[in-house]
Amino acid sequence: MKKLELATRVCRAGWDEHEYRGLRLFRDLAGKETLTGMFGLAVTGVRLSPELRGFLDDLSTVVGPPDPRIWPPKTTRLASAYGRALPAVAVGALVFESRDVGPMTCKDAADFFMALSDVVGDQLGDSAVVEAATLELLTRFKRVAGFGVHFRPVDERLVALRKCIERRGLDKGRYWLLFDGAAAAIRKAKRIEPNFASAISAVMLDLGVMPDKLGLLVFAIVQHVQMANCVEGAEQAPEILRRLPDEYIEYVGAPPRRSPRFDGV
Amino acid sequence: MTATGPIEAQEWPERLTAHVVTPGDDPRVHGYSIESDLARNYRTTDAILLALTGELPSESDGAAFEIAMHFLSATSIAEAPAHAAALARICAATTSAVLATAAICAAEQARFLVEGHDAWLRWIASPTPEIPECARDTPLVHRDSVTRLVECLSAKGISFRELTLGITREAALLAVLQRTGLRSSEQLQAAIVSARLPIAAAEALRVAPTSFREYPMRLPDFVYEADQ
Repeated sequence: MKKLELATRVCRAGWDEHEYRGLRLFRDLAGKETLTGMFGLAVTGVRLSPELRGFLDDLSTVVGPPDPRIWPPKTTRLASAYGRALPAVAVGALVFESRDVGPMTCKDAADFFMALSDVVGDQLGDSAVVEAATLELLTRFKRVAGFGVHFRPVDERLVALRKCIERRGLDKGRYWLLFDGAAAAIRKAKRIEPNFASAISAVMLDLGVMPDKLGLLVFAIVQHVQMANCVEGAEQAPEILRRLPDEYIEYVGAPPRRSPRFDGV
Repeated sequence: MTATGPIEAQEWPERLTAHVVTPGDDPRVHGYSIESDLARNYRTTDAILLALTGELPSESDGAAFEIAMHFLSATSIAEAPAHAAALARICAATTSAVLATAAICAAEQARFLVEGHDAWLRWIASPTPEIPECARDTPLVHRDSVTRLVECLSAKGISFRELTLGITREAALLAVLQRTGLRSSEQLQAAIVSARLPIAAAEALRVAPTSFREYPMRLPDFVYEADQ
């Protein structure tokens, strides 16, 4: 039989040391790299800069909120209702396989900012150019991920994240400035506020993360948002989540009917 | 900080909406009683088609769907759903975790299959002289299987023109599913997972937990390439 082979740049297990992402796991990383850095290495294949690592640490604290009434955390409550946390972790991850909700929306937002950057070119300092380019791209992209805030006037996470970004001096980058310009244009034209996915995307583009890695990296950093509900959900394993009482269900489907083969019993 | 937030500030429905199954101890699917009607008079595959389309199938659609589900069901250990589930079993994962692993991979497999045949599915709805490349069986590696599918359908008095056009087995099965009323990508994916999950799970559950030495660790072999 022909030997089947695949290339990997992830890992090769050795006897007393393991190669990982071009590094030695124990020699280069053990006791030296942070959890955030390890997530970054896993997703991007390279070690994160201190600036990006710091930003992701900030991001991990402003993400959420993991209120169990909110749709994604609620899925973990249902999956953990039978007393196990790990299935809920899996469910809590899969719910974010979405282009409308959660970390993966950052990729689409990043694509928008990269297109905007191309159109704006070297006229970033001209707010009228940024505004015109934004409005032109809105017709091309139809829907821009990272804009729109549900059920509240502004995204409070973005307000908190902006302070962190300014504190770290990350508010001078090209994509951050494009984000600010686009946000102003979209607010003016559509009365739509940015949410923090667009801000995250802009900063991460400034810090060198490519769009195709962006969503997964954000997901990796914010997993804890789901985890708290997985843990408490499994501990509670509440009967009412395993099956809601019938009176809380409203059936709107087809009315009772008999099939052509119904025999009258 | 206030004790209320956006959730308290909104009006929300008080009840969860059911579209397919009535709650209670005499459940009905799209209006038909499962226990006193469907269970007595219909195949499970008819009930799946009913669930996904909202209507009971005609005799021929039900028969064609059942045949297609049989053909789709055979997902061997060579395929990712059963393979991944078997690995979960080797790792002594719980049965529920093994089943969940198979289900996730089967769902991804179905998504990949349906997305990859988007042009073919559109072609069936609106044929043109040229068959989309994704459906063409060149060279004719699937001809025997498609012939068996045609024979099974023919035995029930069913024929679909698309199946005679030199298409792949997968394209043929998608055509049958679509002809039986499964029009959307979502419906197709749900049917395919329903067909494949039991056998993928069964294959995995035959594996002995912690049978690490019996698993071919180097199939395929991953060759490490340092890039830093």
